[in-house]
Amino acid sequence: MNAEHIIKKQIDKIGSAVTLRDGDWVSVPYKAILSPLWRRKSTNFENSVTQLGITKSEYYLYIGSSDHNITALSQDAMLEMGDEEFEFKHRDVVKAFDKIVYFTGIVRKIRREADDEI
Amino acid sequence: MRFNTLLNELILLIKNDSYFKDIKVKYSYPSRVKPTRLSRSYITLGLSSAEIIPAYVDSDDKTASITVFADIFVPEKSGSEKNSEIFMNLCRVFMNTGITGISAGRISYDKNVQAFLLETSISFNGLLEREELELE
Repeated sequence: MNAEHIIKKQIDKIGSAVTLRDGDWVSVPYKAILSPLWRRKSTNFENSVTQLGITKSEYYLYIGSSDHNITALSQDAMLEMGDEEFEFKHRDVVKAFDKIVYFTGIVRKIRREADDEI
Repeated sequence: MRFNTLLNELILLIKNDSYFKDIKVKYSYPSRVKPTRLSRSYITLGLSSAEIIPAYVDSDDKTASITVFADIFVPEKSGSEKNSEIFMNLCRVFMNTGITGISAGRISYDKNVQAFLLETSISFNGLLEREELELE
């Protein structure tokens, strides 16, 4: 069994169900791993406050199998996991011996606009 | 315009203009979470400076000089030219309101907000009515 299939099997075992959305196109549900990134930057615990409101730094490391090419999607592509949506901040491919082993990326949780008045 | 309701009046004045129907106008630094991706432009208002001084020597009457900032945020996708367009429309709205000045700075990019920012300010100067300074 090659590295690509070993990793895909592990992702299927421990990953969460996600879908990709790019415009009107929606992928079939598949498994991917999302791991919070705040642990890697100890100064990133606090939210930053801007004139438009509080900005949350909710970044995650994405690891997905080679079946779903996230690098081929447009800039507006989104990842959905349950009720949560994520935008891709960075996308990359991990290769071994010139073969794609898995896709990785950095995603950020999307906060929608509240219909607030004044 | 009244001193103690000035910001509210300004916000309503802008909102009531049809050009601003798709633009969010609100107080600066609200205690709620900012949307990750801006889907439309924002104008945030707040008090920049205020000075209340006697209107005349030995007089109880006061005059106020107030400057309010109205910062214009435009999403990346709309392009920075939209900032200027919104500012020109702000000028139009305030033209007949008795302001003493309106000014804009240089357009910049705010990384935290992920939007183009044009900082503008509006100045007012006027005699304060006595009841405006009394606590309710």
